[in-house]
Amino acid sequence: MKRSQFGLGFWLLLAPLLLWLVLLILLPHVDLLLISLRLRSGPGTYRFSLHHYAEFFTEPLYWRTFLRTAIMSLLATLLTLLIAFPLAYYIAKMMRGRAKQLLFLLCLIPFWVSELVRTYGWMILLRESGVVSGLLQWSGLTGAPLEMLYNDAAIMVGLVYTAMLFMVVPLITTLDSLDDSLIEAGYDLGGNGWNLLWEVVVPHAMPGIVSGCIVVFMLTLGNYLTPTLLGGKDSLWFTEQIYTQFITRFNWEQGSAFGILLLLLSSLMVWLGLRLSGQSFTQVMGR
Amino acid sequence: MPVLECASLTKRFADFTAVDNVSMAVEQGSFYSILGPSGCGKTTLMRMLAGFERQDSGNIRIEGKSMTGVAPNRRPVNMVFQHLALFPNMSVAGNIAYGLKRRNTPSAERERRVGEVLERVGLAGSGNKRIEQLSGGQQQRVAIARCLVLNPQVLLLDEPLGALDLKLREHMKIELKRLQSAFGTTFIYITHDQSEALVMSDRVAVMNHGRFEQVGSPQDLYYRPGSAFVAGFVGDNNRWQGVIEQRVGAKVRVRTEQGLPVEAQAAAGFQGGVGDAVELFVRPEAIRVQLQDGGGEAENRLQARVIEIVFDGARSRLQLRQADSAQEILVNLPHTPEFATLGPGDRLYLSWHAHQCSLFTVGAGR
Ligand SMILES: Nc1ncnc2c1ncn2[C@@H]1O[C@H](COP(=O)(O)OP(=O)(O)O)[C@@H](O)[C@H]1O
Ligand SMILES: [Mg+2]
Repeated sequence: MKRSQFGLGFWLLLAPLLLWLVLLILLPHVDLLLISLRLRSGPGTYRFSLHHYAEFFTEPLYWRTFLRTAIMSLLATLLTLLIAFPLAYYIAKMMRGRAKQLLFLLCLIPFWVSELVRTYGWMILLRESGVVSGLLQWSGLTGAPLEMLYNDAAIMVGLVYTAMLFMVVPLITTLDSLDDSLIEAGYDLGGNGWNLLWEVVVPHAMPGIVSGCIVVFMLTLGNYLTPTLLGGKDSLWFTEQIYTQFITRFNWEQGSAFGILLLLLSSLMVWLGLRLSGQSFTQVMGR
Repeated sequence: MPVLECASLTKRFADFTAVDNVSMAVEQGSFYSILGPSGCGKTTLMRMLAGFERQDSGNIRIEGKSMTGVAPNRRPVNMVFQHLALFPNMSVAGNIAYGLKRRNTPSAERERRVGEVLERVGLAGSGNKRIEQLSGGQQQRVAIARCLVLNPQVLLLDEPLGALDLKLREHMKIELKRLQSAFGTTFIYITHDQSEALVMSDRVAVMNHGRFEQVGSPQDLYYRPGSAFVAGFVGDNNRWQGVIEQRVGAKVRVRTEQGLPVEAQAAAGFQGGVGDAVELFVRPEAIRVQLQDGGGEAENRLQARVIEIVFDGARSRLQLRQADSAQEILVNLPHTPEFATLGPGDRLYLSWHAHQCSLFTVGAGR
């Protein structure tokens, strides 16, 4: 007798996942959407309105911050990829046995401490009275203390550092599965390092590259701690705007609209990334 | 002048010598096989020829030019990898065009040559297919075409038939030989399968523990093995330990451990004398099997009883035991009608000539 594939056990196993999806992902977002689409018309009464979205487009501070966050996130993703790729290639293809595991572990170590502590680590290094400034003064390269915090470069450093692991892991996994003899065959047929990289290694690593980029982009876009701490007051990160609306201004409607816009942006970027690289979502996330 | 020559090539990994003082000369346009058990250093030797490993000593010359310090992408040799290593993200034509692109061949000529080589390997019209759409044998031919389109001086092939099933392997043996003579390219072919080496090669080098044991034509290896290892590795053999009882010139009488006296003929250079321990080889297919004593001038004539019939179609074997000495002997089962009713316990008359035995002193090799 053929039993149904979707028996009781299947549903029992699926239940926690479904609960999680519905309660923590779906419901809040539906609620967020509903809140963002209403306008207070009197005490305790609301009506449907696109006012908060219109607000976003008419107030330059809002959409400029939004754009800036998107561009900085893209840049951070790109930088992370550029730094992580050679690193992952080195670990996956050049190292063998114990040395490989050790290097892989070394990549993980910074993530044993919380993001807050890690970010404070950067602050200790970069602030006016910090380690780097001290070293520069000691070596005589600068006369006065140097402030390296509270600028875009500091934000970028922190973002790339925070995101690195999420790029390195999928890259190592895909590069590990690349057969060495493909690279050797390329050399044997007259190829050199550069065109092998583009014609053999990158196409093979594409699912890892795309999945790493998607994760890093989403994490960076939604990061609050790093831009605020390293960028200071004028970091102009969009999550800060959301925070301000919800907590400082108590304008939940505006904050919700911003949240929905951020969600739309990250969905759009994921879709674009998949389209441009010709990958499918299941293929990429299966890595 | 040989197209490829190497002299005293040696490669060590830590304190393990994978290739030990190998010298070889490969003639232009020939099919040269390197035959040896797995782990004997064949791949390492080939990787040195291709330039992926650097030899610890010795040198390689291709067309008289030393290859020391020449990178793999600058050597006039190409390699077909054990698992083919076709680029999965490129089409069949893309794979074949890869090498031509690296040489900046103009696209019109590139297309023409890709089409040409595809036709010659019997894959005309498959250029736009994806690699995984092809069967194992077709992928094999793409891997070879990808190299041959570059007109290499030497094509290196590392056990290319290893991954194929038996029937296809039999077919590809003939196919490869045909391709080699059609293109006239020098092939250096690595295998652990003696049948592949015997069927295709002009010359075969038998390799063991990083050394060449013997280099010769397939017939040389089969009829005149140069060492006990070659006699045991190439083809099947009865392998008997024994002691020399008598020697007059080339005529040697050996008594096996089981006590069977065998007349053998020593090869030129055989050093053994009376009392020396030897290994004696007689091929099962070299022994004449008869139901009645047929006489004849063969030096070795004896009677034996059937212990077991090992049925394997055309390659069926009879396990026999000689009456006096209890020496076990393996012979081929003749498929003629008079043997059809043969069963265990039946008596058979065996005979073979002294020159059909191979004789090697134990320990000294020859
Ligand atoms: N990179 C390497 N490092 C250490 N040992 C190796 C390496 N490559 C091969 N060997 C050793 O050298 C021997 C010969 O290997 P190989 O040339 O692959 O043999 P074959 O191709 O005849 O099976 C094997 O014992 C193998 O373990
Ligand atoms: Mg091998």
